Amino acid sequence: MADRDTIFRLLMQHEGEIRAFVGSMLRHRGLCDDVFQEVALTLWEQADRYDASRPFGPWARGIAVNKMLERRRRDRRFPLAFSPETIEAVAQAFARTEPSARRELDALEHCFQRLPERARRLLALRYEDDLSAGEIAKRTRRTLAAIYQALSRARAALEECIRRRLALEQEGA
Amino acid sequence: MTPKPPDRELIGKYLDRAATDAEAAELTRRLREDPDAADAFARACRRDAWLSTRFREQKDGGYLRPVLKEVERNRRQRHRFWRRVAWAAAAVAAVATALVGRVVLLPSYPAPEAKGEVTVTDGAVRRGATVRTVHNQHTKLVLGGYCKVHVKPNSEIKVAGSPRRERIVLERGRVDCNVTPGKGQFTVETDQCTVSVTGTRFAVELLESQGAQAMLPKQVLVKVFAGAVLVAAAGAQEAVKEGEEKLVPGKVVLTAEGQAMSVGHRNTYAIATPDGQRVTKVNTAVIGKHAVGGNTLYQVAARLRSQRVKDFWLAVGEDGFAYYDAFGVTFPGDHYPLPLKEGMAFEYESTRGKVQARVVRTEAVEVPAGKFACLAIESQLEVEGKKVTWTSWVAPGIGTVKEARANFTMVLAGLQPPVEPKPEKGAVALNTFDTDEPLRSPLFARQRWEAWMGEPGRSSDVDIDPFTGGAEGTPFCLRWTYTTIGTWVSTSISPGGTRPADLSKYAGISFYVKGLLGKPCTMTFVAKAPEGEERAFAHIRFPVTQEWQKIIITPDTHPELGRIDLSRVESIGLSDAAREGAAHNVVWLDEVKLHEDAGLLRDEIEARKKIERVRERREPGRMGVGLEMDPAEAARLKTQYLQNLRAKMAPLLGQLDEIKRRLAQVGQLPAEESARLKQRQAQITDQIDLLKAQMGKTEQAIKRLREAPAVGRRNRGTDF
Repeated sequence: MADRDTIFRLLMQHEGEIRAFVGSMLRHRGLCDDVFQEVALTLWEQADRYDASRPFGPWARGIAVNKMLERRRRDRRFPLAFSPETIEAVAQAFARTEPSARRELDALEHCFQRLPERARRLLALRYEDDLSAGEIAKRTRRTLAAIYQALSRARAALEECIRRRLALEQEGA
Repeated sequence: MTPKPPDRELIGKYLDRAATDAEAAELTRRLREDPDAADAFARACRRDAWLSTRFREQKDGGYLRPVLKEVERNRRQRHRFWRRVAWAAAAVAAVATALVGRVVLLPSYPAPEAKGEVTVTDGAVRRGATVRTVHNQHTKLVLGGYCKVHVKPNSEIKVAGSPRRERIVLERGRVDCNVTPGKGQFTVETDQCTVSVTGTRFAVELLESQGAQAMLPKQVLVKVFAGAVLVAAAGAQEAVKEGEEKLVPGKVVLTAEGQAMSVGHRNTYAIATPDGQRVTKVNTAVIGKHAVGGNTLYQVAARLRSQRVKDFWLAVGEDGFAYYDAFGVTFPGDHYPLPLKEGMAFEYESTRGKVQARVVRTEAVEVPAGKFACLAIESQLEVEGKKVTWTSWVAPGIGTVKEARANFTMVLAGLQPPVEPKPEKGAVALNTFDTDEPLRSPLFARQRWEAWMGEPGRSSDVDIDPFTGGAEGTPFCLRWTYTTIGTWVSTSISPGGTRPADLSKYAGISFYVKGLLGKPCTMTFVAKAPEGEERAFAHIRFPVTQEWQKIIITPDTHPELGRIDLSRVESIGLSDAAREGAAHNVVWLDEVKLHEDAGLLRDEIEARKKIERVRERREPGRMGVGLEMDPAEAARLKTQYLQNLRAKMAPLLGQLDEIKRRLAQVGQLPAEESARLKQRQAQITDQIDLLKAQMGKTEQAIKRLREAPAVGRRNRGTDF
């Protein structure tokens, strides 16, 4: 059992993680925010059911899964990308990769600063304005393939940078 | 850790919303089957979310940071637990709101705030919250820093809108608003209209129905103290300027829900010539309710003067309602689409031809039954080349209120909503005759009352009497009409259908009965006998008067009932027989109940006996057959008797008040004491009812005696 202050702190710590999980199922920012709000309120309400000796992430993701499946049951048009089995597989993957997530995101922060300006502008269009590849193509008057390739290259560059940095950290350790 | 190129490509396309259906299906398969792919997907999504949050924070100036700072600051400052929880709750709500709308917590835009006493649905004044004030409570809301809303007592509003487009929904009561010009928009919404401003002082008030206007929908009063407002209602806009007022009338919309009725609903219509001379009256009563497809079908009995005419049917569906002479066989007489609103035009095939109709206006119509907000519908029909027109006024929840035709006008003169039968402790209703299918027993659902006769050529009919009124003020009762010549007639119900029913768990049966001739009647119980033996009958004879009286039958009061096997009852019913000559009679039956609690039933029988004994002892009119008195003397004695009854009533009323007072002490009485008091309350209520009935009869007798001529001296005196 945890008090509400603890839940609040945990919620703030895991906000990015929960949003990432919900966002992986729903490629719609508005809906993602909606579901996150529902999850946050449920976590808050059910604070007394949380066993503080167990990890918070899986519990919160479990509640998020239930919320999304419930929304899907209520409204068949709710754009849930995957079946319950796939959602379960992804939830397990999030649990498996969660321990290294903090280090990876720190590395991402470092690598992001080193991205070429052009790639950062492209990512700004993609994330700041929440545009799809097609919308970016239209706005920048480039082909969809070119945009997709540029995004793919930027991500690959980030991945490669993160991998190198984590490897260096391990060697240093 | 690095994903395989095909996985990376698929995941990237999925995250960029560029994956085709086939690619999405392939990704789904890999996520399910390959944990490495799923891990890569989780990492990619995490990075995606991180990038998204980072860019959004840059754009919004880090909208989470001020919230977290605020929470931490207050956590340090305030140590009392409840305050910490309240702050954290407010912060979580704020975070959630920020994540959804990202508007309330932008540093440059203030959140809604309230001053004064207030009740808020979810504890905090924010968008979506409902704010209520009760008697003597005043609240001031500040929205966006530029809209000051004074919520008056007994009001209810919902906070809506968005930054610089503040909006409230007025559900009840009044708000006075002061909007600073040039800061943003402000709107007050009601069901009836929308009031929009950009800077002014004004008030909006929902006027509740009052007095004779009870049936009218709410109206809205807009008063402008400074500047001007724009009032939009019924598709039109109007500017209301400083010092002006605008009254927006309520809307009338007929919906399927509003047209729903209950069995027992009775109306009276007065028919008059166009110049207002009354011709006759028509009574209608809803006597049945059935679900047929998507429609609810109401059977309506009609009586013209004292003559019952053919029943008609009202079908109400989601998309319309219609009156039929025979549902499903003919076109309707009238047919209105639903929801029905002002300005709608429609046409339909009726029994008389094609009707073209239009809802021309909303109007308050005053008729003898009251004042109603109606839709006025003008209809036109062409019959043999001649145009026939008429106007109907229809009100939600009422139906037709008025109809004006070339040769007559019909107005609603009386309205009698159904009275629910009074529940009786320890008893279940075999039939109250006030249900959706009145002749069918709610206890033995498949069974209904039927009429029987010993020989053909006689008559025995049973139906629901829609217009006489049932016992205890309920709308309906069973009416049994029969003619018998040298044979028996009956009306009965078979509780178990073709199988015998077990009624042995019941302590007795009670019912109300009255008759046209006031001659005794018989209740017959038929029980199935063991094989090889004849069926067993219990005939219980009881007096019937022309007024409702309650009969209670138990194996104790009527031992003949104890001689049959009550676990194998085939039928229960009333019967009569005329050994010679013809007898035409009508018997009414109501509130047939089976009693589970023998104790309560015994108490009621005792109470009734006691009253009867008092009546026999005290009532002079019952001193013996053939004894005649001077009516004035009899009236004097009966008046004295009436005073005695009143004197007996007074302490009972006192006791009842005392019991009610004690029962009102919720949570202070032990359950046993509470049950005992409730039992006593029921007994006293019954005694009071009996006394009231007796007082009514005595008052009538006094009135008759005072109107009667004096008895000659020869016939009085010594005999008495």
